[in-house]
Amino acid sequence: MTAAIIQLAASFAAVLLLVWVVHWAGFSRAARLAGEYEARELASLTPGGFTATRVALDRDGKGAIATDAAGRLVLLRADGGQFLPELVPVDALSADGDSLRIALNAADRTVILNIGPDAAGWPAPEHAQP
Amino acid sequence: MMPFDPLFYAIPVFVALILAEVLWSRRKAGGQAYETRDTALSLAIGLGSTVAGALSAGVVAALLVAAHMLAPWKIGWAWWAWPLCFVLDDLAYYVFHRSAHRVRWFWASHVNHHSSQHYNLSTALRQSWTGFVALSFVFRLPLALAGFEPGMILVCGAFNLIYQFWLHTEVIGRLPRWIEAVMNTPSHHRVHHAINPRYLDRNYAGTFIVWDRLFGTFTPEDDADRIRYGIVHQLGHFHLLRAVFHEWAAIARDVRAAPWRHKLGYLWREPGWSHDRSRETSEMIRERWRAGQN
Repeated sequence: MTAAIIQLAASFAAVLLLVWVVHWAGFSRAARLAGEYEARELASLTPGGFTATRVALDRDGKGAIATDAAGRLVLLRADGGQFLPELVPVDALSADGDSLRIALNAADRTVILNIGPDAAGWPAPEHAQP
Repeated sequence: MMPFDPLFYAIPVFVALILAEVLWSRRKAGGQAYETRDTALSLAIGLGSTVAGALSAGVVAALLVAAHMLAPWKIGWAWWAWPLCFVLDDLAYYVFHRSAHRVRWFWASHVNHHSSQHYNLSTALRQSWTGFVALSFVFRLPLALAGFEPGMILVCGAFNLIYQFWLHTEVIGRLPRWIEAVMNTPSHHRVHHAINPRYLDRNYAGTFIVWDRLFGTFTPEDDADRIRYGIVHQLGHFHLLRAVFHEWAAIARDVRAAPWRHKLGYLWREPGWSHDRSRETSEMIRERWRAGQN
């Protein structure tokens, strides 16, 4: 029993060491999108499928918003070192200058994308619900 | 029961190799192989799985002994039994692993191993806490019934698990053709962890990739299709307990909400199955992807 506890404590210490080394090595930074191509590719992995017809990238690559022919919207938001595609309702979006605010009900938080003057054009007028 | 536990001696090597991979990834410009919270979650799940495994080890060993006692003959500890046991245990692993992806009850336990969006050596340690509840041990019982010593089966299983550790890396590209033809390699296993439609539910092998080639579940890695890792519905958080039990909770919700005649379907059908076809299985995702390619 004592040996098992010592083994568990040593394993726990090793876990802490490894996590610290990963942080020290600079792997705590958020993911950045390489460009529109990557945003389209990641959006295509949305459960149920998604073919983006229009994409707007955050200026710093922190995320992106995309729409498809059916008017659905997918938000790509950083989830640690990777991105998470997430379907969002049209009424979750609101423009504020160059920024687009997307309210995430499930996570009870707001994602802000700086997409430039184009922000006011989201959601695309042809896809906006009456 | 178990002459010695190879995993006990392997753990320091695992730690050293993870350290080496982190430093290698740091030197590689723009590398995203690791992420701090993801690694913390992988290692915490790994640590918890050793505790869960220790708690159920006695029962699993007793069941193997009971099965061995029912065997019509005893193979014993003959030297030739070791390689034979290893190969057959690897076949049993293939069957277990394929079932773990095709039956939601088993998947609820195995999903932990796939829930990282990263692919590195720490991902290898993201092992299940609920393997005993999911009845994973039943896949090894036939070996004991065939007369193999329970201790031999457990040692072979441990070596199989150790072999699979080094598969979880992007550091190694392709190995010589004859190795890729026979053995499971990082390239083959990257395919297994991918969520790209073409790769879903492929390459179930543990040590020998020949099982996938034999049973039609092999797909080679295609450099033109960048691999994205994780699960179809990504976790989206780094909470330990939610990560470990999320699929069990989802099964409970689905069974509760489903009409009576469909309740069992949410336990034994493949992940993604739903009685109203409102969700997608791997086959449906692949079909949709193929249709989009044409």
